[in-house]
Amino acid sequence: MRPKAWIVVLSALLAALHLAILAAGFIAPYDAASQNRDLSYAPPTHVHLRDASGWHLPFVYRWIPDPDGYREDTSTRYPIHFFTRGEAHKILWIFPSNLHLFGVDEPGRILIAGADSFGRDEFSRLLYGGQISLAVGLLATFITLAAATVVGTVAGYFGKWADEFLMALGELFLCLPWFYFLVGARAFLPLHVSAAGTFLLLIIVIGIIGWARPARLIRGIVLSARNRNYVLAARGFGGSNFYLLRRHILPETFAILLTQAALLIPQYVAAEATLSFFGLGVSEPVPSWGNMLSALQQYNVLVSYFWLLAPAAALVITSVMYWLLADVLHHWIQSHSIN
Amino acid sequence: MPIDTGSPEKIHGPLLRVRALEKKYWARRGAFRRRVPLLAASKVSFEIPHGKTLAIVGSSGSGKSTVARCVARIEKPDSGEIWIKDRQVAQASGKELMSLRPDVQLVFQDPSTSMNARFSAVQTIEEPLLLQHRGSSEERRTRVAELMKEVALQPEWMDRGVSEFSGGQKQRIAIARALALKPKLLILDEAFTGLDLSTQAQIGNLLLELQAAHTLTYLLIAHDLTLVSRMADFIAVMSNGEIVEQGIAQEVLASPVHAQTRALISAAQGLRSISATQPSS
Amino acid sequence: MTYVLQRLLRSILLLLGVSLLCFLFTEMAPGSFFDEMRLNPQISPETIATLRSQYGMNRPLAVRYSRWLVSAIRGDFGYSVAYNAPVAPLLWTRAKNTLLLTLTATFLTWLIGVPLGLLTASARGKFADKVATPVSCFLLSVPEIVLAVGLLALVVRWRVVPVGGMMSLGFEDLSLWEKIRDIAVHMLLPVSILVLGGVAIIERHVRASVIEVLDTPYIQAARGLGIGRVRLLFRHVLPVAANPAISLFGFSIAALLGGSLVVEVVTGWPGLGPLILDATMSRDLYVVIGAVLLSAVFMIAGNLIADLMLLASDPRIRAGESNAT
Repeated sequence: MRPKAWIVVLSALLAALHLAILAAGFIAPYDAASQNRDLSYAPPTHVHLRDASGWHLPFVYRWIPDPDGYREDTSTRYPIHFFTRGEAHKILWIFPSNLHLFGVDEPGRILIAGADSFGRDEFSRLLYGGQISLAVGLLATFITLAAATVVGTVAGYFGKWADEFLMALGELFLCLPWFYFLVGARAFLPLHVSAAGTFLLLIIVIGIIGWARPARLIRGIVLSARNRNYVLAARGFGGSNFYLLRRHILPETFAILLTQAALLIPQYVAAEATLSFFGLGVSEPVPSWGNMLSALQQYNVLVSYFWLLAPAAALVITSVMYWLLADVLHHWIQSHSIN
Repeated sequence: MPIDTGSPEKIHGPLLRVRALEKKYWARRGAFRRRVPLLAASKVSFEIPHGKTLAIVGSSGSGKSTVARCVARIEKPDSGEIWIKDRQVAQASGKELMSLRPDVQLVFQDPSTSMNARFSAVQTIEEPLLLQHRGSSEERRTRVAELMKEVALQPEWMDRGVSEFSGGQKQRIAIARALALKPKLLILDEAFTGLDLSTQAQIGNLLLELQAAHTLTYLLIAHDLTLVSRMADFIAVMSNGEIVEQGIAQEVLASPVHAQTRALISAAQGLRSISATQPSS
Repeated sequence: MTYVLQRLLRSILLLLGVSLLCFLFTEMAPGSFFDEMRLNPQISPETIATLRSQYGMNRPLAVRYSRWLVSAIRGDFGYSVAYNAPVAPLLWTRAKNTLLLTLTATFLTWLIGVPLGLLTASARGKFADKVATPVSCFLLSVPEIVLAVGLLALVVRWRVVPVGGMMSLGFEDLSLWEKIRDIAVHMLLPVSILVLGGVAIIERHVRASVIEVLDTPYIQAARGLGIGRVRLLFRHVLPVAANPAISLFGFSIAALLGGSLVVEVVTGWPGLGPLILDATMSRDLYVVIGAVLLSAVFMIAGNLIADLMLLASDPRIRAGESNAT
């Protein structure tokens, strides 16, 4: 496929992923916190199309505890309903609703990805957790790139002392061991903060550490754009610094900002996941892909309950798609600039 | 032969007067990377009467572009005087500089780099009008259409991207842009280099026509003496940042005094004899 | 020569800068180790005050920093409040374990990655490349935590190697050969995780830079002249493709201490990673600073070595020295 086609396809897939996660309340059949002690570590529900009495629309059975784990209670069928009423949630955090994409009647439970130790639906938590993990990734990336643009522009455009100072500062940040510093930085902030506070803290800490490399790239672009003849000409016509930056110089940075974003977002999502995995990030009961994975730190869980690796799969899919996008963008931009 | 404009306007004194212009650049030399000054232009003095063309010639690095940039105030000279009509330009700044800008415009060497490739033709040509707050969007478009006709470009093309035009057409766009503010002095900094010979001739003719129509004064920076002999009334030869010979074009070309001038002339003659033996393109 | 001195000076300044940054960061930290202690009713305020002055925590910032800096240069990195022991030996033991892991992993990564990159570059578009490229891209994009947990899950399910820690019980009773074997067996999992991720990076970079060189007109000309493939590779392609590889090598050195935190914690390897994590949880100030500083030393050293190697290998940089434009 030609690069442009790849870009369109990947962007569409990523957009779909983000939309699905944004609509977590609607797509997820259950709330992230609703527990069910009877379904602790229940495996994924099997979807059936036929039973002894013939073919039916898709349905599921209840899980019943059993000495070996769980078995299906074939006495009652629970058909899957679409666009059904279920637990209350809020669309875009504002509009209350209880419409869900799919569900089954109580006391049946459809656990697409099984349940965790508290009997909470892993699939629902996956979607809600994605909201947190992706939000951290996106917002932290925004902070990094905003800082990098400001620094890079000031350094590249005004040069001299500002440039020397900022680039030296950047070099300092570049030789910090990124992850140690992240962990350490997290340490020196209060351990017991509210969930919202942790969220904000994570975004700021992750976002602030990575500005140096993109800043250097942007500085390079601004520096070379600054000396182009058309910028000189515009200055000759009376263009102010602000005009020159806005009209001629900053548009040159968009391409690289896009590529950097595609590179940073998955890294930052992974950073959040890792921190939460270690207990330094978002903590229970708020789900995030990282703290969901920390359940696997127990040996028996790791061995027996493979469905709890679902967040790992989500991380991989997200990372691979972003990385591919960054790669294709990079090649497309390079071939463009040769012309 | 340069055209005698026979302008009816009675203007006293030269349009452009440059006295003892000096510009230094700093470079780092030596093991300790000391900052050492390089004199790009030194004690440069010349005048151009209204409606005439002065050509500054010399080999690469002789300082011609530096002089052009200083006169256009894209760079500030370290010392010396630059007078446009009766106004001091050399050390002007701020509002005063802004009011002087319309009078002097610069046409750069390479049209592909002197215009933003993302812009359309109209965006490029109207930029000076926009920055000097001349009229509304509608009025600017009308003016751009006029300008395009003057440089023999079809106004219907004004919304096309700049990169869709050929080299010669791009240079016409650059000239149209330079004319937007009705300048008195036009500086052509190697404006012909990089164009093929026939296009050079066309652009040269266009410039001569425009000079006649608007009583423009030209400062032509070039290293091709054939071109210069067609267009220039006066010539100044630069070498190592200083003017080594200047005078009326025909006289200087016919009987050069300085070694540098002679070298340039013989180089041009060499080219002419080569092109004379080749089949014409 | 001046270039070397310049770089050395810059590295030292960077190191000072990093140490200052770390120290400043701790100042902005609300709460400290002692806040947790204060909540404990069994410890009297007097004890806490004594401890504080013992650790010198009630002096002004500039004084603390300069004292710490002076002692750090002498090799004393302060005192760990959690382990109740000097920080330096603590760091050093753990650092040795980490280095054992990362040096082995780096060695294997380069051993496998470079030939793989050369292979895929010269077999561009053919079967080997078509298989290797998506695998590499996949390994590159997978986050380290997923790679670690995933591999751990696989290994644990199939019980291939012992998981957790560096040595088995009863290690002291083993003979030297058995000791080596024991450690090696424990290293298998963490090293594999590191190598899987690292080989992908090296292979991609080597492949890209070799392809870039292979496409240059001067190599095409050399081929046209009939120079054999092997000679072409070693005398013409590699020296030019070496530059980006050298930078990458510097990066490998830089990451020797800092790059294995996740792997160590997940597999239970007793290196610097788990130490800094615990220190973070218990707000053990000097341990965290010491660990960050130690790995920053490696990062700065790695960059310095890479710069010097580039200077030695690329004649253009040396020429730029004397012509100083």
